[in-house]
Amino acid sequence: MSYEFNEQQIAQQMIARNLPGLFELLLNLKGLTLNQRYTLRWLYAVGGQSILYFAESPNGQMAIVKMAFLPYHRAAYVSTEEIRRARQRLEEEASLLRRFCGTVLPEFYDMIYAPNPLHTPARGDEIANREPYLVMEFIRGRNLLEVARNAHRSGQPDYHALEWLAWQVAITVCDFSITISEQEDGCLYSDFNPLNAILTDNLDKPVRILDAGSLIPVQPKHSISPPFTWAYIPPEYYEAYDKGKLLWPTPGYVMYTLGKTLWEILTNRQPYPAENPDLSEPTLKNYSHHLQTLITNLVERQYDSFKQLKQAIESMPASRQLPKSKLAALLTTPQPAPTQELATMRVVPPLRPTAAVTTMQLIEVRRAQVDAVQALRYSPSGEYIAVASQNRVELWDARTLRQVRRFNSPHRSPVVSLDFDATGRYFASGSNDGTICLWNTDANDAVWQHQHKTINGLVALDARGELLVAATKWDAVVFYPQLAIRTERRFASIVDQCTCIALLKQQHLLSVGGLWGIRVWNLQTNSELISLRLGRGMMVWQVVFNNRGTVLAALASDSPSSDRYFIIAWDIDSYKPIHQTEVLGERVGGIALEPAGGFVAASSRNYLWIWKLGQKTECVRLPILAPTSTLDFAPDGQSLIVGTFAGRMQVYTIGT
Amino acid sequence: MSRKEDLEKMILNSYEIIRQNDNQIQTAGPKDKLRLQRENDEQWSYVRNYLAEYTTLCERLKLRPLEDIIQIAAARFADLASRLSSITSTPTAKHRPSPPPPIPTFQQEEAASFRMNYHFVRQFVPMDTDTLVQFVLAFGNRGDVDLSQVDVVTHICLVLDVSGSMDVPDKYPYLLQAIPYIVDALSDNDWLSIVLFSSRSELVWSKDVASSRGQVEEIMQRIDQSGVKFARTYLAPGLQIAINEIEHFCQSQSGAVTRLYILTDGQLHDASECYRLNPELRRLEIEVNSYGFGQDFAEETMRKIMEGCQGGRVKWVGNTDTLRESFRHVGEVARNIVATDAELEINFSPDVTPGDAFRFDPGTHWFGTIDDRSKHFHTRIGGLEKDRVYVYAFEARLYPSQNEREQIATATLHYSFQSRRQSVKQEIFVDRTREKWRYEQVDKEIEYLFLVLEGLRAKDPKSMMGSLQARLKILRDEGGDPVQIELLEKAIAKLAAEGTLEGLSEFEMRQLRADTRTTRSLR
Repeated sequence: MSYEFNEQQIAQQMIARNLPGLFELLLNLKGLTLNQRYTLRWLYAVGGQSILYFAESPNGQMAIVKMAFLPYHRAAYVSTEEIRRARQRLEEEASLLRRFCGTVLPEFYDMIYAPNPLHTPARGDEIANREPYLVMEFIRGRNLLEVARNAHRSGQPDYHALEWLAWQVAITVCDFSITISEQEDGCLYSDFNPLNAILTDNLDKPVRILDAGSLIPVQPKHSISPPFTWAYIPPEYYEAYDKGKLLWPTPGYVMYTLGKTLWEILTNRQPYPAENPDLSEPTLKNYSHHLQTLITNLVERQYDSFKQLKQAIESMPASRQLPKSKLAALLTTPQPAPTQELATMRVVPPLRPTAAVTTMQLIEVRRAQVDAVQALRYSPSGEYIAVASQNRVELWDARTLRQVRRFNSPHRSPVVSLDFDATGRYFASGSNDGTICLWNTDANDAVWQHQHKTINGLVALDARGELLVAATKWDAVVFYPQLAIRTERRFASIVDQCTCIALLKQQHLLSVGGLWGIRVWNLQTNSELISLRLGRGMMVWQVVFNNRGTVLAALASDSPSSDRYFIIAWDIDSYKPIHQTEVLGERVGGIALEPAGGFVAASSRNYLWIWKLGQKTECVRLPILAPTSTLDFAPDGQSLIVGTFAGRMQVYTIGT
Repeated sequence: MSRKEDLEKMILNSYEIIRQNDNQIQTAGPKDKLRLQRENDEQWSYVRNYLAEYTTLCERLKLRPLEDIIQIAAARFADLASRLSSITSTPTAKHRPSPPPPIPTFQQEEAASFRMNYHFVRQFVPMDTDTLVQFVLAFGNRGDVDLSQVDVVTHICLVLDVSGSMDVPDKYPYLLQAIPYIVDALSDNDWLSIVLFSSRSELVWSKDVASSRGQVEEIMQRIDQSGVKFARTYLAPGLQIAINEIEHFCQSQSGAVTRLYILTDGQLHDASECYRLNPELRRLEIEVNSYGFGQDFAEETMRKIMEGCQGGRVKWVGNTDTLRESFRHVGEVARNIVATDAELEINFSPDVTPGDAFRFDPGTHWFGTIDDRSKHFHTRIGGLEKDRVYVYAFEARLYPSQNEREQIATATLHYSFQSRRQSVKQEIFVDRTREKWRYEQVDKEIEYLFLVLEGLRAKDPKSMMGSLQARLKILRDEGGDPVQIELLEKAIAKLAAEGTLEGLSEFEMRQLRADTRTTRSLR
């Protein structure tokens, strides 16, 4: 688990919850040692009632330290009375953890009273220096929402594993509820939702329940306000709570929250407040009749008691076993199986170039056949290749050249452009019907899509996948897909025509090519950096930056209808031309820059070329059998992939 | 009746008005309080003039002044009281009950031209528990300072939309007809610049108002004959011209106040270019406001262009006929500016936790939470108008104390008046009590004012947008329900276009609450 990444997610959640400034304040507590016993290391979670830190004892024992949640960023609006109430709840939670030790709740370790630097000394010694910190077991695992969403975002969710999970959750909640309710001064768990349960890798106790603060007495107690989450409570409770009226939770209420939680896990649908879950949701058909019946009965509150629920569960024949490997898969990001017959990997004898000076050789090491290939792009790690084939978008394993995912493409015409962000998590695609999409490599559905007839399908993505540039007939337009924003930021080429774009991700530079040349824009300042004029009538067809951001190259012809092609390259620091080659007699399909910026490759109907930049001589001229559409260097510069309109993908390693 | 009796009557009459006002001041709201104080200032200035004449008259004619008059003089004008007393040689002067001294309701620096006071929703707070206090600061010019001769040069720069959408009978002709109203309302020393924008932009007028007055027809003609009219809506070039013009003007008239008004009727085609000019607008430290003309006005875009600028107000001119009045108002406001470069700061005491700060008048605005580490609030106001009451509101948490009266903050208003820098300082005190009935006393007017401000805080579009966008990102990253993602996209689009979520169905609003995972407790 990356605690740093987890903190970033919390930062995002704080914004989502409209708590600006709170995250930064909470980070201030990192490094705080509580009575020389536990040191707070990482912010772990911020709930509605508590703040959790990942802590370490002097002997290296890891634990969770919990403190009461308060809007510290708006300290003026927190009364001392509220602080005392929140602390009291935490102390009650500690006593409940002690009381129910050995159950599926976290183990109680300690209760420490120590200063809280987030309180002003003006509140007095008791408030500023006697903050209760509850220390408890750290349960390694993932909450049910994470597990379910991860399972569903793969193309083919493992419904068997999800069904197993649902039964385990139902059994755990049922057994736990019986345990806590049957004691003297019995309790109910009033806030069951997918965030309050964790799936662990322990097959003996796979589901653990968090937050003992959600335990309330079975008998109503006026001094207690039951915690709840709006989306999960029964509609009549929603109505009452919305009016400020208190209805005391019952076993039926708890079973309803369980039913709604299971429905969410199984369908990946968002439950809505004051609404019963849609039991006709088609995804439910992927699960056993018994499980569907269980959920229906829970939602309709058909069980009078937890014992009756337990009997019902036990009477339902269901698979209660899950292979350890499947449990592990639920706890990690799934890797879907290939969806198409795989091309056979074969190594062909090296083909030598037929002309010119060569210091380099290309060896075809893999090939695969699909319908047609219009665009190919290596992921930044070199692990995957994004492939645009007809109107499909696919992800292929670069090492094996096997398809690992076919995305649910909304493109209705051939996809002509692909571009990854710097992390490899997101990539963009564009088709010539004006549809552009942002994809997460882990999900089958597009994160975002947009269609406009003026878009020509060429796309470029920034380093973090947050800014997407699309080319239109006239200029390049900027989108922020993850924020659902289309800006009015437009970047033109030299003359009112835009034929190609490229983004230098690290430096936020956008290159827009068209008639007469290229303009380079700084996206941070929205200002033009330079105009690279190639001359009247010249048409730029493709612009590329190398990965290291040292070279810009362009493929141009001397007129829009000419077959006389040129490849020109500029040094990014000075924008001085460092290379110009005329490709005689060949219609060039595309160019690619070697990541280090030492070489430029081009492909045409008959040949694949590589030139060393700055030298007019070819390093490689390799005859090829079908018109090429696209090519790309691997990020390590050791191999090159070429795609053809006939649907062939060929990977070459580069040797000297 | 003799002149002496005349003067005595006038002094006593003025004093009677002052007494009545003082009685009302004790229960008046912030605006009325300042109005009454201003009236008293005025009356005192009359009293001083009458007293000066009265003293001279008594001295020259050896007339015995009335004891009441001496006492009135003693309340404010020690020099005159002393002179009057020295005339009174007879120890058996007729004794009459002395008028009560004026009630000191505020502290003031005599040199200042403005005064400030404060009002709490609850003036009394309990001694034994912590409390959130709410108070307003109100300030305005003093009534006893003669402002009739004060003429701050104001540069009014109008940036007017003359794109194709304005070429309709209920827009462009009204815009043209409104021009004379602003010229009439401005002072001769003021300066008027007019920039037109459409696909292209043009500076059609930039002259002092004295010269402009006789050339109103020419201004209208220049607008009417401009070649930029009735094409597409590109504001940025026009804005750039205005910025250049303002910079040029500021270099030549450093003490002047500049106010930029942008009038547009539709969606801008170059919003992003305009956003780029926002830092320049801020750097100018001028007041920028906007008039929205008609139904298609891009309010959010304009707000974003003006974000962080002084003013920043958007006024929607729904009825195009009222544009003339709006232009007249712009001119009148400009004419009323008597002080410049105004700044308000407030420093809270160390044992106080400051809360939010607001502006109530002119134009409501939520500043957010005051930093608890610095306990300092500061805002630039710019020009101050005469006869206007400025109202700012603050919240703070106070902790238990046994002190009956405690200073919780100090507010200071700084401004330039007739080329001099002046300050008005106001210490803010709260009274503590153990008597419940006292701290339950509420000033309804101030309480209502805070209710109005609460709406700003609860429905702040910027906060809502940040929250919705973050929720959307989380759901997309985690692979959440596509239906919920779609709903968030819809809400974001609505908020961006309209600045509010009002209009979403109750069902949709409830659905929007669905993925807020905060566990709540009933309180």
